[in-house]
Amino acid sequence: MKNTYLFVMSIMLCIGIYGCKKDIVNSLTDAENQTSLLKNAFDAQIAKKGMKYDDLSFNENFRTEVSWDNIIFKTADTAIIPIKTLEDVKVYTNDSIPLDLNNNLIIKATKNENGEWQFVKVIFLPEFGNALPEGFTGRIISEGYFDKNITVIKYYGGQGYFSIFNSDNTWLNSNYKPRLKAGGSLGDPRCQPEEDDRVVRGYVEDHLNTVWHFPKTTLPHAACNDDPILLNGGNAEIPPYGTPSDVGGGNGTIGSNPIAQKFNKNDPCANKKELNNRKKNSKILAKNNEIKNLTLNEGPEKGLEHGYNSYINLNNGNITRFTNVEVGYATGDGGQEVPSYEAWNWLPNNQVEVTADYSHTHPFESGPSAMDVFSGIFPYMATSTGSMTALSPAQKETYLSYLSNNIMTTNHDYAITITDPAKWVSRYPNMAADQDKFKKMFRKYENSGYDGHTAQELALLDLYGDMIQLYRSDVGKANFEPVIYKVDPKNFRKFISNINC
Amino acid sequence: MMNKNIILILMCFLGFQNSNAQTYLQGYNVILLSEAATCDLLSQSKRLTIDQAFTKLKQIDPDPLEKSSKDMNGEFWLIDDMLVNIITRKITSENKKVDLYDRQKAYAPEILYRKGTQPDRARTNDYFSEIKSVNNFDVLVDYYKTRSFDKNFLIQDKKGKFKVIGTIYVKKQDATKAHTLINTILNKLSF
Repeated sequence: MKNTYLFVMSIMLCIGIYGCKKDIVNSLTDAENQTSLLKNAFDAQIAKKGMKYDDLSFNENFRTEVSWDNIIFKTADTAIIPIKTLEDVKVYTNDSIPLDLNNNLIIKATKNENGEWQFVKVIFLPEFGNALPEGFTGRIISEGYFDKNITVIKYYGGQGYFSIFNSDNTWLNSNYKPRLKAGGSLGDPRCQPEEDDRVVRGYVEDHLNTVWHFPKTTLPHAACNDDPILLNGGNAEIPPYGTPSDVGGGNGTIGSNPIAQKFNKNDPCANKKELNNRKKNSKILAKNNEIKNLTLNEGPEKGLEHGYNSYINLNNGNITRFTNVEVGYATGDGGQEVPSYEAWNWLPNNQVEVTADYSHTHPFESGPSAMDVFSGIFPYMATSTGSMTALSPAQKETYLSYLSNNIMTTNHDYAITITDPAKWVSRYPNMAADQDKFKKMFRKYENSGYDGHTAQELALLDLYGDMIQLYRSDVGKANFEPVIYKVDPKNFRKFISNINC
Repeated sequence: MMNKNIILILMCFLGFQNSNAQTYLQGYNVILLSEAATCDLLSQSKRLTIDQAFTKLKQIDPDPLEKSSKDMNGEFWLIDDMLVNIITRKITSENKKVDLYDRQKAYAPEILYRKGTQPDRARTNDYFSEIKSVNNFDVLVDYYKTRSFDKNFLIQDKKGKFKVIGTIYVKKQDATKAHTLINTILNKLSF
């Protein structure tokens, strides 16, 4: 009886396991099928039109690549296909924030009433660098890959109020005709047809160029109304053209940037809050994780230092973009050369963005090195030459108030702010000799029985404690505290202590 | 009686003032090398006092970080006019075993430079570092070949019981003698 029971249970268990396994296999196959069917449809339309992949770039001025592996199927009939730019392409918002177009391009695929996929290139152009709480504000440009449909819809707070589109547009023409008001309502600022020049300009590899231009077509129609344009395009449940919900749910977060607050050189307790806020920001967190993973995880660059720097707009504190990740070069004998990109760019309206938040990793137990203290000194010290306009004295002061050096090690994350700029500048020419002295002090503290990173922290504070504030956080956490050294009255040994905030 | 007491107190005071005069071992949690390892080149009887060592250090390095004999750690020997410093500690939860490869990176000269400019490689080109196993221990040897007065080695026995920090202070013109001496000491040392 017992044997029979065990036999039946074993059979049921086997069926259960097999059943589960089968489900998983089927579900993977479905996803693969879905993607491959979509890609086949795309390829078939290319072939039908006698086109080549090279003809399908978003623009002739920069190259793009379709990320077929990262498709998001919103429904069985709607898919969002990310596009990667192969060059550095940036578009400036109205408040002079450069947006990486890499994050703002998609192909939207929807099935028409005949069950055929239609593919639309979509460019999202937020008007402001920062998210507006009420929703997306800016323009969304949609252009059919294989038809002549074009539309540019202007959004305020997540709602479309103005659209311009070609008259033979099969997506919109019938839906918008009853409400068509060419040129918009007089006096309504929301209805200014700002696409008159029909060109979007941006920077391709730092050179001004055309990012999108209105293709040759019949005269455009425009729709403008005090009431929002129906985002579903009329009768169709899901519009073939781009809407805010296609990226980020229409909450206006496209291209939005974190905002940095200024440091106060006399208030380390206030500064720690700002350091923690920057570190908690999702974009900065992702970037920090990226360089930490490259540094510590298995891969060709494991064990090498990695770094990136953040541009901050000195006029409004926007962290506008990140530099490329730089990787250290092993020099043998354990040493590394680590390049750091220090630069500034002049923006429209006399604004300027400067690399002001410097971050790099140490793939070993350590504190910051003496050399780390001088990251970012170039924009502060540079003077104008024939080919380069330096920051003004006032801009340099502002720059310094945003400046932070961040060093991520295996034992702690550190940050450094400058408390005495005059000393910082005066000690810079002596940096190499100071580095030697720092190494000697580091060893002196190790000889005295301190662990490696404490020895480096003490050495750094001995050397530069009169011109910097050192902050320390647990690895990966946003709990920076300003630190100093104190002396234990029992044994007269130094130790690192938080400032009592 | 009163005068005798004053003289006694003065003698004690002078004795404390010169307390390093006959001190051969100094430092936080430092033990004798002989408690951890044997090395006939570094016998206890040939050690310098801490004061003698400090005087010699100043002769070699005109501007040492150590400003008095109280800043010195460990034990000292004078070999062929080179000052040998050995600091021996037990590996404990407070004094942990270290990853020598980590330390190698921490000691090595870091070159952080602004992209687009030429890095200053003077230090890197002058630097030597190696990790190796000798007898029954692992060791990291590192030093600047010409630009510094100190040559360093960090030893950990393979059983994970002891950590020994070694430094040879030498005049720059005698640097190669120190490089040879490091290997001699390492070959003669055993835990």
